[in-house]
Amino acid sequence: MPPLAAWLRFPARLFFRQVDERIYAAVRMGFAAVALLNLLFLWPDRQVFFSDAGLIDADVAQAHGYPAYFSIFAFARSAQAVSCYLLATAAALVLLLAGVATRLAAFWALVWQLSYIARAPLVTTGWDMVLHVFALLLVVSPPGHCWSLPALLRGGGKARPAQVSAHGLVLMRLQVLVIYWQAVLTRLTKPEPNFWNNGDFMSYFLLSHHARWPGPWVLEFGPLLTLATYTTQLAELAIPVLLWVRKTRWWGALLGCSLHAGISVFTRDIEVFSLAMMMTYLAFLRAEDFHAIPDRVRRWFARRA
Amino acid sequence: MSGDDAAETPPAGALPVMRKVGAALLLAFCCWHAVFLLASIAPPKNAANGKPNTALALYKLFVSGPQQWNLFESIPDHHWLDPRIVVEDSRGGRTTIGCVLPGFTAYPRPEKARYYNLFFRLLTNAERPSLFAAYLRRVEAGLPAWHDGALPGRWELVVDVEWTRTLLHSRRDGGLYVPATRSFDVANPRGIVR
Repeated sequence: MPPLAAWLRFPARLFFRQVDERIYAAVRMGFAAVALLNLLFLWPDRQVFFSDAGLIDADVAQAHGYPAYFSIFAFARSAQAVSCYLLATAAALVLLLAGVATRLAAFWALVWQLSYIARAPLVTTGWDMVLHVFALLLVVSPPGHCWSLPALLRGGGKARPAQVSAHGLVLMRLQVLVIYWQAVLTRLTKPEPNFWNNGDFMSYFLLSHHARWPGPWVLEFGPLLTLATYTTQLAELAIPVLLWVRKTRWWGALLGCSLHAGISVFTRDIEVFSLAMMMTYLAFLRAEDFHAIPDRVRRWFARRA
Repeated sequence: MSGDDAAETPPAGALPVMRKVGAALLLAFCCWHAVFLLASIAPPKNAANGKPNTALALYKLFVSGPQQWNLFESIPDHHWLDPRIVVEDSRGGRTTIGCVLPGFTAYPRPEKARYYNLFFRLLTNAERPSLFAAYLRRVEAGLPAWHDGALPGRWELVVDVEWTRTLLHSRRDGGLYVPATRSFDVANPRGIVR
């Protein structure tokens, strides 16, 4: 094939490679579980954040919507309507988890993400954005039918998983790369005082509002926390690369999970963020992992026995 | 991308026309979105410098999200936030009630990340002062219902905060935080130092 033609075909080869549909199924189920957990945590505060009686004025939120305001909460304004919308969303996420009407359920999840972010922009967090971008990518991805309730009912658990287009996974993997690398680059280019560059970040972070155990003990571990500051930066640069390379992807997952578990231990009330980031790692699974993981677990149990 | 689960691209000639069109559109979206994502690795520039592109803003709103990933707050020098509403009655008595609507319930303890984000942004976000003004108006409108149908005397949103001192100063004398208190009401949405 001439080089130019090969070059032109490169995007099609990249995005339309065939991959095991169980990878998509794993991402879909992971996303649905985390989104459902997020909804569960939002439930007690639904009237405060989303209803007309709550803290945020709907009309002012609408006026701030740039370049447009899109939210189901423009119509669901009363206490009852807000509750109904959240319940319907929970049902949609359960359907997504079960692989029933998958595309529609993923689209509902996307609309839900857009709606509450627009209605209550001041309460949004980093994991809301992670869930938003992954909801969109699920809408355009193959649904991973093999791991679904209908397939289970048909006895399809024993059927060979289909090979489907890789485009969704490529975009998900790129998204994970952007999340980590942009975060690192943004910190490096912050104006002074830049606590990331001078190594003081972890000390300030552990004394801050976010910390689980702020106190004078932090001052005694200055050099160690300086090391932790730089190590975190290096880890965030390395995680997407390690995840992407076949031989190192488990090291990447281990490093990422350790980082986010550590953040959850030392920080208050952002466990959903850690889970949302760990969910994104599912996009880096490979077909052989679906044999290797059960084999390893079996071997581990056999050794224990 | 490294080699993968891989197999081969299906033979294009075998696809019906509609699927070919669909595949072409999907490919175009994937190429565009991939380029957009790669470009997003560079830290976002200050939006105030240039005219915002409406089409791009729509794309970010509905498709890509804003793609601003801070993961950690850049300058975590804030330690404590305690907002509440203090109401003075006609006899000069002072009552403290919660600042969370509906119902004037207390600011949650242990604190929740979303409440912290909400109040910290309400109090400090200069880009959206109208949200804070609207909140203060809601408090004023809601107080009579809480107070037997009559508007109580003076009221204010009182916020205690603590700021982290520099490590240098903290190591010198052991003091970690500097407290500060501001009060806000409809007439003073920017607050008064107390």
